[in-house]
Amino acid sequence: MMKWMECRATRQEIDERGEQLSAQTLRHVASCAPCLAFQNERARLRELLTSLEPVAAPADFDFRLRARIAAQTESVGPRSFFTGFALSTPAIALAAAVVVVLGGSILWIAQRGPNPTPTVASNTPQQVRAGNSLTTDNAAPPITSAPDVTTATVGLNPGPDAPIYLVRGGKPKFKDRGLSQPGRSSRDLSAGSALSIKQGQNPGAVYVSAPVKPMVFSLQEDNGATRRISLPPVSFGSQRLLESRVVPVSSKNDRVW
Amino acid sequence: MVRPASDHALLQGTLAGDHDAFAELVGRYRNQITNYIYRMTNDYDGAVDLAQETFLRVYRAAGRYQTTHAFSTYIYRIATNLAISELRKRKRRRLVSLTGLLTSGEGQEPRDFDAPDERPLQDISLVDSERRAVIKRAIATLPDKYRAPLVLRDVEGKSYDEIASILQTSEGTVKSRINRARNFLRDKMRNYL
Repeated sequence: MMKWMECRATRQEIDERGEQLSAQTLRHVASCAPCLAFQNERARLRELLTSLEPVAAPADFDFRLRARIAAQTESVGPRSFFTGFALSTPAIALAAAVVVVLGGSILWIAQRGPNPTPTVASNTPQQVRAGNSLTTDNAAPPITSAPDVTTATVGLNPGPDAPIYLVRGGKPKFKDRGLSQPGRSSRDLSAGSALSIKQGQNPGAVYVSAPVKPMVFSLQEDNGATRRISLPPVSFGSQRLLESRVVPVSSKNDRVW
Repeated sequence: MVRPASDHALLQGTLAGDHDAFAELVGRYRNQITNYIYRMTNDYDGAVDLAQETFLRVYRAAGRYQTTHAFSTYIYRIATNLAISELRKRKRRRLVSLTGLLTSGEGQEPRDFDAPDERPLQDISLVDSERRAVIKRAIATLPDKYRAPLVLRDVEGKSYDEIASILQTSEGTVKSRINRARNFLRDKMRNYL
């Protein structure tokens, strides 16, 4: 065991130091045939490797190198500070951080859910002239695709002119939608109190006077789902909404309208 | 007697736009780098091309050079990276790697398909050229991670410390790899030892 360890150390030294061995190693090699064979083998191998004649660079090496440098200098040109920064590692890391922050913000905003804040109406004059509609949906502009339909967003305190009402579970519920956007004509329905909500004895129903223009009801559930019901235009003459009766709008969660 | 400028001074001159300084630097290292890459790749034209690429990178990155390391370490590191990259490209170009097929297991070194040369020696006049060819072939069949330290040590004559700096690894790892590379070569060139 001792001899094996000594042989191992000796061979390691032969491998690392080549010819310049310590006295102790030389003594061991002189007395150990396998280590002597190893030393000779390594010496021969070194001799073979060093016998390879070194190759030299060709005579036109410098000329070709200068040509390559000149070609690159012309094609690339001096790199500006901003270009250099844009290609640097800190800039890439910064860009990645911005992307992550932006993505997180978008995700956070998307997951915030319905906003229960009071709302402002968004009626254009033309839309008001055209008819009435109700929307409590914050997912998409509800009325713009239908002509002669008014978009009205009902606030917590709809004004006296508010034509549409939404009741759920016996209590009025109003939803925000695209408020106070610049360049948009709107009417603030939250300025006054809602006067026309008519609840029947049934707390899940509301009574709406028959409008003269198409009207869309959008009802929003607590879980954010929206249901929409469209009522045809009616007149106060011969046509009455749903057999001339005031229509109870149910808010039951049966998904059947 | 004029004392020759140091590598660092020549690189500073290069950075300042002194073309003669860069030419001097190229003159000092072009043969060494060409020879080193040639021993790594066993392809002279490719070695010259990669040596030029090495100097091109030195020229372009002269401003980023840090004087904490010797310039020779720096330029050999660039040359090593280029040579190893070239060897990997060659491997990818092969449709089927016989070396890969003969790998015996994970964590083990791949066995090479190039069997030891058992043929009898030729006439004495041919021995030298035959021997050189065998050595070159044996080096070329070394795994990449063994080839670079072996060539740097036994062909270029670098110290273990410098090799460790060039390869950016520990000195112990370098010694271990050189030992394995020599054992590998011993098996390949049995008839010449």
